[in-house]
Amino acid sequence: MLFNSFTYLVFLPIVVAIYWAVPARFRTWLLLVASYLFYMNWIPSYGLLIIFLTLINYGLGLAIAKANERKRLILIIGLCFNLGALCFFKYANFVAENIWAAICASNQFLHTLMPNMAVSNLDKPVVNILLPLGISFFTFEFIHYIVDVYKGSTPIYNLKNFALFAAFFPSQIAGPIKRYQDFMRQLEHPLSLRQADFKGGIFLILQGLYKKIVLGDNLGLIVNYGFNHAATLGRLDAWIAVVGFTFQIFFDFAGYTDIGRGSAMLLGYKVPENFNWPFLASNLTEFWRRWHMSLSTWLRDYLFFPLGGSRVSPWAVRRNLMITMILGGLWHGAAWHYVLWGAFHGLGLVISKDWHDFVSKFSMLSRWRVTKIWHCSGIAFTLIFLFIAGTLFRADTLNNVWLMLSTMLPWLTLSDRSHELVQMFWQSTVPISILAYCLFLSLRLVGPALGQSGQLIVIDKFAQLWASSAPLRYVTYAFIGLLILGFAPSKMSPFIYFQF
Amino acid sequence: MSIGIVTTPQENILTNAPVKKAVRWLSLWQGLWQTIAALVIGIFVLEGYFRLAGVGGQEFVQPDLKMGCRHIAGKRVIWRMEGYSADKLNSVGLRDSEHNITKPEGTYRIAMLGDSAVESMQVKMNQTFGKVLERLLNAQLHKTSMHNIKQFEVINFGCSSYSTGQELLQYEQEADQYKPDAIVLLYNRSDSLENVVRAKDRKRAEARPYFYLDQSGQLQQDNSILLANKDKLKTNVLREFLRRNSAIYGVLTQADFSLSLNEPRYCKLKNWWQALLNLPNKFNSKQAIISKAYYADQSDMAVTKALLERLSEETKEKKRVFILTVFPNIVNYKDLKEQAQELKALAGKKDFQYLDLSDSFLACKDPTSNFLQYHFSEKGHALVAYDLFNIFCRNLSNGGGFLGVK
Repeated sequence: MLFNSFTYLVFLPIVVAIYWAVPARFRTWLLLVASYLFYMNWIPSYGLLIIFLTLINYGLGLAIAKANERKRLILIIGLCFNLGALCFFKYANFVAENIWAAICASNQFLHTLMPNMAVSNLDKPVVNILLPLGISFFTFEFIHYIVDVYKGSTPIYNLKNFALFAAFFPSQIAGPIKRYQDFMRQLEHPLSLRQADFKGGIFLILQGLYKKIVLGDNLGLIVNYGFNHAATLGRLDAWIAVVGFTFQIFFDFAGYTDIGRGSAMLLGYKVPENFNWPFLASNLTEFWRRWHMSLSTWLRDYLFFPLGGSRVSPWAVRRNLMITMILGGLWHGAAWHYVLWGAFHGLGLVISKDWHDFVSKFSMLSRWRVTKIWHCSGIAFTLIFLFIAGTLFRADTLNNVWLMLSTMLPWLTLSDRSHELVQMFWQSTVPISILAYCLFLSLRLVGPALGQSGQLIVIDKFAQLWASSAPLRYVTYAFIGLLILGFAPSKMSPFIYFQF
Repeated sequence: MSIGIVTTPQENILTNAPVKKAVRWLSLWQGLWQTIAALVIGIFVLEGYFRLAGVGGQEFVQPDLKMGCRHIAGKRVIWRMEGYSADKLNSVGLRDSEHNITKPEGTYRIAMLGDSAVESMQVKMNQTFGKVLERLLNAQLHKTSMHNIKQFEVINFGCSSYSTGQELLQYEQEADQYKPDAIVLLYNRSDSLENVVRAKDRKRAEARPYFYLDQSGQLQQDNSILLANKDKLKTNVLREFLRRNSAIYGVLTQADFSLSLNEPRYCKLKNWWQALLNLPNKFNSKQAIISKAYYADQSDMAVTKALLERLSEETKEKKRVFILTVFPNIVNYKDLKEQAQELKALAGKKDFQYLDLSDSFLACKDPTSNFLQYHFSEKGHALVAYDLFNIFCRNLSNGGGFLGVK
């Protein structure tokens, strides 16, 4: 079920209403049933997969907790099982295709050397495995669970609670990747419905829908057109497509996270944040602390640290960074351009770290580092890096990557073709929607401070009225809903991160 | 000294029943006032914002008792569903600039009939194939003299969802007044199905005039579906005001349309809701009921051919040129291919011009670039215009007989 679908719009209020109406002891059951309904709405049989994985990991957790000597062996079995399931569903097609390509290449090579030995007709193997939604996210949650239990955390003894941890619908399909200790704390000490949560939840859902539908989806129309017509784009067009994609994926994913967090809040749960102003990061290390935070902390805790982290020799740190980011890239999708994207980020992190170390050695550079110009330049460089990395992420083929980069970068080509995408951008609702969003953000950030200092009394008064008047709030919610409806493209697009 | 419970004056007030009641009324009144104020301010702000952003201006047809639907005259339309355009319909509701009904002397008029493919909301008005053709012909006029023609004028009568039958009626009731010298009708794949209604579909059929062939093979009009929907098609002052002026109304109808297309569950829920609303009407004897079919199910192509025959005869009677143009079949739809063959044979038999756009579209390096999704792109429009221009020029070079100006 998509968060931006009509079905979810009906599903969520029904679940929330029944959830708060039934006695507390039935609520976990209700959420579990709702989560499975939510998941099985797409392909019902995949519900069995999540049940199977849940049962196995539940057993693994208990076994690890009980075992004394074979603890490590059970953990390894558990890791192999979870990674095996992920690889089977996510990478079987990729592996089969690459093996086939290698066989074809060697066959061709053989043909040039010994024509009689080569096979004349090679049939491409067809592996049709449909990727179960959210498998990358819940297998990571399972791995986190068994590793933490192995390290000494208390396992979840209640199967129902464990099943809900894995299936909890607000974070089931595309995260944030939860930590079971946080989730269990909330499950064992359920909150009552608080007005602040209710207000915050609705606000987050509306904000998420605005980001996803009004900004992300409308940007997506321009970006898709650009990447589908990469060969005919002018320089400015290519930049619009690439910059547009970087923001599209942010609005798409941050929108999803907001809707998920908002939905969880309506049920009295807190799901971790995934984004913290990532485009204000002044270097790549900081960017990864602000972007898809639940994944980057997972990669840090369960991959980078076990590899040795940064407490090893400088070359080993570089190696660890590269391995972490390449595998992070592969986690996003089974294609070479994702691997390249990961490697590019890994290289960026290595350079960023080395630059940091270099600057620290010189006192003059260290003094400059605290200036605003340095900080702003850092933001600009990081953004340019992200735009180029975004091309690797979005372009389906390496040929398309080259086409986009060669059009974008002035020293690679001199061609300047049509400005179709520029025109498309200005004709779209994107500029005015971004302007409205920026206005909203600045009011949210600066408004309260100005209100308190008496410079903008109107904002302060309005904020007070907003907080105290329920009718005003509901009418405003309705108008924001209408606003989102007005700017929605004629067809809803799925969330980008659903494919991972 | 006595020890008692000390109450604040406020508590005293709240324990007093009449005062409590008054406070409740006051808060209710305050809530109501705030809701109304928020609604009024919200409507104004949202209307303004939607207008500024060019959103909600896609509602441009209104119900019509004769035709089923027609354009809203003078409506400014901002189209974003497929492609982009921001133009105003003219004072009689054509997607065109203003045209005098009286034809200026020396003007050669071409009327374009068709559905959304002719209406062409997906591109700017001056990029539609009608406008491009007009420019091409007038430019040709400067190069070579064309008898007594001083200028060419192309008028776009295209309207979304029109069937061939509606296009024929539109010719008879509207286009004919403009005294066109040539009529170009663009035939689309689903047009023939829209001309007839089958007995089993009558309850769900769209309100429009349908056609059938009677026992003697004569073409007849079936207005029963229109009449049954009379109440829905009647002008509702408030609704028409909103349709014409409100962007919020436009957004709501647009959302309804998009959801109906893309969300099966929304459709189900909407059908249930409508069935529930129609429940009282079931017992209302005054309610118009869609009559049972009084003729056998028709062959849609037979009816379509009869409609085109009638149009051809009417144009021939007034010595006008009729060009039947068939939508390009780049996907190689079997049914459209068969329809095109039948229409080509009809054109030969009835002696009117026939143009299948498939040939020139398929000759392109990338035929899909002539389309946005379902409709012509700017490039596609130019290609249609060139095809028509060639027809006009070819016939002009044959002594002008085609142009009717011998």
